[in-house]
Amino acid sequence: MSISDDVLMAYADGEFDKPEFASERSAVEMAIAGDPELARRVERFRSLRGDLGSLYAEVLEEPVPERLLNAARAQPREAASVTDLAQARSAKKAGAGSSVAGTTAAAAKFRPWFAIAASVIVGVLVGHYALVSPGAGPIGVNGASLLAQSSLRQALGDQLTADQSHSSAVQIGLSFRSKSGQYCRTFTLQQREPVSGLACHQGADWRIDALALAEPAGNGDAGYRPAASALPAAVRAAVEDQMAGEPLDAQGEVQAKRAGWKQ
Amino acid sequence: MNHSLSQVQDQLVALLPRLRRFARSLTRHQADADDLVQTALERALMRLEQWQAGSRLDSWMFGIIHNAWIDEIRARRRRDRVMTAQETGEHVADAASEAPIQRLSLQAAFEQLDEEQRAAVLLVLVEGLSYKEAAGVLNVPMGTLSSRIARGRENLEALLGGREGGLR
Repeated sequence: MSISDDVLMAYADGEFDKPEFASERSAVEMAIAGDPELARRVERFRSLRGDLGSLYAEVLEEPVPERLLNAARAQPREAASVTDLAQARSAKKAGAGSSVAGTTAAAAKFRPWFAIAASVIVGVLVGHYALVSPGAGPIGVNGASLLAQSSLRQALGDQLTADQSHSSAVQIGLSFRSKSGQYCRTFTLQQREPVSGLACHQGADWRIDALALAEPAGNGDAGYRPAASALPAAVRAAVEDQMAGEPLDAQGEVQAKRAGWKQ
Repeated sequence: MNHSLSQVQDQLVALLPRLRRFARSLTRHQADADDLVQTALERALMRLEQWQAGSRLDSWMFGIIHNAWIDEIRARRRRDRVMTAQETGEHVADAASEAPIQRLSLQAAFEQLDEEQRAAVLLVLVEGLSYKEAAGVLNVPMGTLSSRIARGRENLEALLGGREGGLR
């Protein structure tokens, strides 16, 4: 009886140890019993596995750095209520807090839009940015969804990262395919207080799946760079949750645009 | 959630050595590994509600670390496309064809494996996860996972030298 290395490996790795694989297990064991060569191969797989147990043993033994212990014990950054958000913003304006406290306060402001009622985000954004509007603003509301419109919609559909100008009001960051096959793009609206988000193409629209105040790069108003590493945590988390595979490269973007961002 | 925050945090602290080892195997660099673990802890605590009590906390954390590492690789690639290949070992180390004559230490051999094989080998052969659990952590199908293990094993044996067979 011939048994492939893959099956022998799975056996050596204990994949057949569960009761539901009892028949596979006994088939392999019978084969091994009758074939010393098979037994030798299983032994080889097991021996490598045993040797690997000591891999990076020193990492397991050395003391864990204090900063990681602190990170594990830190209070989670709870999603901010609207009131918190206002407070965080005024605190930021007042320049309060050390850089560490500033980071936490900043993180507390960001929160995926879907975690809050659409009405809340509309309120917050209308109040502060006049972003969401039924008419000409870059973001509109349709039921429980936020949709890109006007300049944002146009940029999502037309703008290629390879040739976008740094002065464009809308900067496109990453483009990628989501796990459900939709094309998604991150964007930043460059305005006095930049907002970043993630939009996915659905039907004829760009549905906005995450939206948060952008984190300005560097200090002061020295120019906002829409590198994805500067995306707010909430947007980054949404990207991470949705992205399937690698981001599109320049050519991938061109092709996706030519196909109308259709799946 | 059935677990109090402090209980989960106790478990996280207990996991730290293993989380650091997994991060080390991905980054092959101690300071980068600890940065990665720190990022993963922050992300985990921010969305603890996504962890289902009763499911394995270690697998969930491995998945977050792995995702954070993929983010980091992408960020590096954007920052400097030239440096990326050297820094992250994104070249697929075709270990079998580049097998050096001399015997490598186990760790040196392991670090020559490509990214995907390192993660799969670490999770299954070192951490003892099942193929299914490891496939879940890495978000790949079972078949992909088992072929990464098989190729990782072959390459390791070739790099370690002296062991016969195993090459494809």
